Amino acid sequence: MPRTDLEPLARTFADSITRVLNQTVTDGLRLSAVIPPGTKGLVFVGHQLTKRQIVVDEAFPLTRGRDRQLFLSVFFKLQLDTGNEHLTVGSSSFGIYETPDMSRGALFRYEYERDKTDGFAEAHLHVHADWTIGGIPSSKLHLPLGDRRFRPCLEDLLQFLIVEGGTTPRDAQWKAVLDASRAEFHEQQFRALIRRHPALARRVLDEFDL
Amino acid sequence: METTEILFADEEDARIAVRDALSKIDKTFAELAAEAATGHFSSERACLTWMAVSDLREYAPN
Repeated sequence: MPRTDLEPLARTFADSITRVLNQTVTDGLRLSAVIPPGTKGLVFVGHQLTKRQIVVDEAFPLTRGRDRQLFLSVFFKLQLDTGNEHLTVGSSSFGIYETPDMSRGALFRYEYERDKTDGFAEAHLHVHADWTIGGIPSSKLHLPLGDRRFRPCLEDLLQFLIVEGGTTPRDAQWKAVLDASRAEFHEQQFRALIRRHPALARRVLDEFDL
Repeated sequence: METTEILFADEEDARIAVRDALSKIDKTFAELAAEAATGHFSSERACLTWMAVSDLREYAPN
């Protein structure tokens, strides 16, 4: 696929993320999408990304929570799916920080790495705290978050932050916004599951006598 | 109306982006790849850098 054909796909994806954030817990956030050279069909989406800066230094502010303000960093690496038609998430990272300076370390990070080859969970959580397992600090452990198709999404993290007082929703519509966006995410996951398991899908439909 | 900025990087941009990202963690591409193989990165920044540069090997400094 030519790089120019990636533009509308990248824009649709990044606009949807921006919309969810700005309708719930951020104000005037603008994401950017960087399309690297070559024919790999890669797109990087995040805050403050430029053609020459693809790893960000600063997290962006969320609306103030019950007792303090938190900061969020969002990064997606998108790649073309096997059909070369759609962008899929190759990896993602959602980090929560106490300050915008990410070099001071996150409180925790939700990450996803598709086709991870080291045996750790593709969807995992890093908790930056003072404990270890097997001599490995918690910040480096990969706490599993379910299968690729059942992993938490950004909307889940935003809802957690809102209901636990980590941030304040912009208005009363926040739940509807998150529910609608999350439903789209889940539909994409269901479609992928059905494509992967058509015989199972047929058996289930047969149970409904359709 | 959302306004995502779409940026098309050329090869020189990619070379600078990868070089600077690796420079900030003071590692070569090969060193970072070796960390990635273990699944445990030396730092949070190293992990985020690998996410961004892992498919851009050809633009990394030798």
